[in-house]
Amino acid sequence: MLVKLILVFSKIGFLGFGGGMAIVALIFDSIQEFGTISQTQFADIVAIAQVTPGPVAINTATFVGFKSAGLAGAAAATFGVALPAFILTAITARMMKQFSESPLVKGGLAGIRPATVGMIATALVTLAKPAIFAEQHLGAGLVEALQGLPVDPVSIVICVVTIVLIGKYKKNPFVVLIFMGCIGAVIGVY
Amino acid sequence: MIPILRESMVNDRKWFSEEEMVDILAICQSLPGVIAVNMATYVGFKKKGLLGSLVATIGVILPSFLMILALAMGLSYIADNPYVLGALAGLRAAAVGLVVVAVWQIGRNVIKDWLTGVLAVAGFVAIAFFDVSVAYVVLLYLIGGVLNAYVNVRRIEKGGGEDAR
Repeated sequence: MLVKLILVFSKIGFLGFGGGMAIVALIFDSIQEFGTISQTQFADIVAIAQVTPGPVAINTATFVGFKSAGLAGAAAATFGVALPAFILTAITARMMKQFSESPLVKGGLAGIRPATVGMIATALVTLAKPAIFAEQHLGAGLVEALQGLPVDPVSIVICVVTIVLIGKYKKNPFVVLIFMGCIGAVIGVY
Repeated sequence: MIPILRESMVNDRKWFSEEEMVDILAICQSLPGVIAVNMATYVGFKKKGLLGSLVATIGVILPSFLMILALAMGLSYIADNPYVLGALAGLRAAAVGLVVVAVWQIGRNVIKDWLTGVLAVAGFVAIAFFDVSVAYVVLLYLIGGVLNAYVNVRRIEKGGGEDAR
């Protein structure tokens, strides 16, 4: 299990062009290989990873590793996801000039960029499904009719307000997420 | 995370100039992996070689590693608490909003013309709806980018030759 975690997360680290959210998409993509984590659990993990200081991808890897195989699993996943980037960055730091000025390297990296957008959009779908089609709707304990709806309307409102606050008004994402978590705790799911 | 790193390395420690920092950031963004961790590796290597990069990388990962461990362990004890469940539902919904903003911001920077737009949508559809492995998509796009650059280089060389004649 540990060797598998290291291998799977090394693959993720090696393919993780485009930073944090692209890696989160890759992690969910690979979870099926040792599948003990549901889509809702994964959405929880990513949400917690986003409000914990530090890179969201590392946090998610650590958490998924822990859920899969405890403390050693967390260490294996974190080590695996960081290893390829470590090797590649160290090599690049040695020969920065040749690397960054080669037109072929530049072309290849430019070619990958649209794939990164696709990867992050995939992460969005993965995270949105359990939030919008949740089993227990937010506020269903207060207004019973909410539970009968096909989607979770309060979650959608929270999501839209978050987009406006962070995207338009440039509010601190950490503060906004904590605030929305508090609102969720007050409204409740039962 | 990246503004903190920049502030600490350019203004506080004066290890790098603002221009060097821009270069470092561009390189670390183009490599696979988490940008903040790449920056730690890169800066560590520049200051103290391989050992320096190792120490810097561990240093940047360790605090969040420990925090997530504490959270993961603590959370399993209170996972059934109704307030925790509500808070997680609120967080999940807000996290989706955060990713929407990320897709928008990155998409706006990457999608410059119809070709990059089509490629981005095609990549998304292939991964999300046809279960194509991300590895194949990344590899295919990488090869496409290199070929495109190769053809461009050849064309410029050829074009220059014709001008000379």
